[in-house]
Amino acid sequence: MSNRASQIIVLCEDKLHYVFVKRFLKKWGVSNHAIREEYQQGQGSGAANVIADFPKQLEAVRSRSHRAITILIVVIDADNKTVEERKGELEKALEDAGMPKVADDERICCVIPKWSMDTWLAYLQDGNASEDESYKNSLRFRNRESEAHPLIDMLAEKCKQREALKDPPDSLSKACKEFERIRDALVGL
Amino acid sequence: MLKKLYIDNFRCMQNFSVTLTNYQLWLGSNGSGKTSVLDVLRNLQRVLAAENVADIFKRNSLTVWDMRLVQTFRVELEIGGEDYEYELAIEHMKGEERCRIQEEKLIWKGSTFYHFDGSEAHLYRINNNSGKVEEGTHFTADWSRSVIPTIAERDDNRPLIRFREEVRKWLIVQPIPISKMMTSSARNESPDLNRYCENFSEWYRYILQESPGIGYDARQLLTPVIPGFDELSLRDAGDSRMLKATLRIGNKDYVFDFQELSDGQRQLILLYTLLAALKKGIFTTLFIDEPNNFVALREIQPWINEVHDVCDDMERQVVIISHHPEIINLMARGNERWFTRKENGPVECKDRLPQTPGLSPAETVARGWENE
Repeated sequence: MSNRASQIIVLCEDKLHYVFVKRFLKKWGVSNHAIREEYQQGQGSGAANVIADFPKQLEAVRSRSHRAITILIVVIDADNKTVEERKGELEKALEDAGMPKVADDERICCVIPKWSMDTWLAYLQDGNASEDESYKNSLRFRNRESEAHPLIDMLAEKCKQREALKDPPDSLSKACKEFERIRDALVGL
Repeated sequence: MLKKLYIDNFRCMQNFSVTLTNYQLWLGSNGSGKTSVLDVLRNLQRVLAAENVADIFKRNSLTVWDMRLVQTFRVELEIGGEDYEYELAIEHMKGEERCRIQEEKLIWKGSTFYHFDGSEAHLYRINNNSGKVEEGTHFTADWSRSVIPTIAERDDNRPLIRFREEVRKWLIVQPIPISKMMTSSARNESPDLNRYCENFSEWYRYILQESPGIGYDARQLLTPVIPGFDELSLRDAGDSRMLKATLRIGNKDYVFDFQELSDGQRQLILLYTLLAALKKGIFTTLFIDEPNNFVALREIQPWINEVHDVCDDMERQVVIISHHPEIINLMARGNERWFTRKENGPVECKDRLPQTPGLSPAETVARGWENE
């Protein structure tokens, strides 16, 4: 019998984030049944919501991970901060909650595009994108998320083949490294 | 794909319109008109299946506070990248339980392609040389039934036929999987799934004939959903056939009457079979009212995600009506349509559910704050 429990929890800011993760994982053969989106509560700062929710989700995942493969994927826009600053905010949330830092061997993957996911999609579409400017207001894929599918598929395929990206935005390179934390676990699902 | 629907003088809808996307949630309070819109679509399907309009549009479907006797319905569709517009005006006879088609029109890519003016039907055709639309024959026609379903297919009337076929491929359901309604018996094949899906077994028998692979597809989808699910099969039972589900318990397979399953299991089988049929193109547009009925919380998000994938990947359209918080939170993200009425007045359809900072969309609805 297949495992009927959700094995991948996705904590993200908005629909574009979730579509990105879900589509990416689909290329890895991950079924809809294996993924659970922890959707955000209403309007307001999506990033602040993700940071506030992170300790609770991590605690839940840690409590289960000793008995079954459980992956937590956190997607949060860096906005006008650096990737490191955003990651630092997530770490600070753990510290404030009295929780240990994320260990190297934990299946926790923090995906942090500079400005927003639109930066990566612009890169995937045009072959280049600058992290000095935000592409969020281009609204290219907002409410048209499915139009990003071919781009996400392309990225997932390259990732599967371990094919290097040509001049990727720095935040995407960092996310690729972060992905290595869960790569093996995905194959084992 | 259905892009827009306009309704005037039907139940609580006066000058009402809703724009649609390929994957959409309709939400609103009880009595806000959501299900009535589905009834309109069902009625249009019946008109385009040559039923007598007097059997479809009853006098009590007129808006109670509106004195006019004419109801107007208009749909805008995109079929194969081409725009279609269909309009139907139904006139009720004063003081009588009778009505007639006052006007019926089909517009294809901006040109009239069929017109019934209340007495004569005007057919149009594509000129094979110029590629332009030109008027063809016209004849006196019965005002009680649409002529569209009776027109024979020809090379030069393709738009009319495509429109007719597209409308046939709308599936509009409000499933109620209780065993007294949704039985195992599949005496006949039924190409139409009833409003409450009570003839699911007969419809399944039909779609299995149309597309034999669908049983396998549904099985693939259902295996991770229902523990031990092995297959759905039709087995001889005297002069009828019965729908059976095989479930693995321990190391052994057991065969159950479809009716013997739980309501939730029947609903899951229905939902995933609909999904498989949608993928196969047995129908192309699905309107489904409260798919979450009887379904475990765990199973809702995966089904919604599967639906979303099919809509995006295969150019299908699904409109879901739901009051369930899980579905509201998943789908009320910008493409939802919010039905609202003030003091039992006409229905309004707004493009977004009002949001409350810090609250999920479902919590906003649960508090009734969206109506403030």
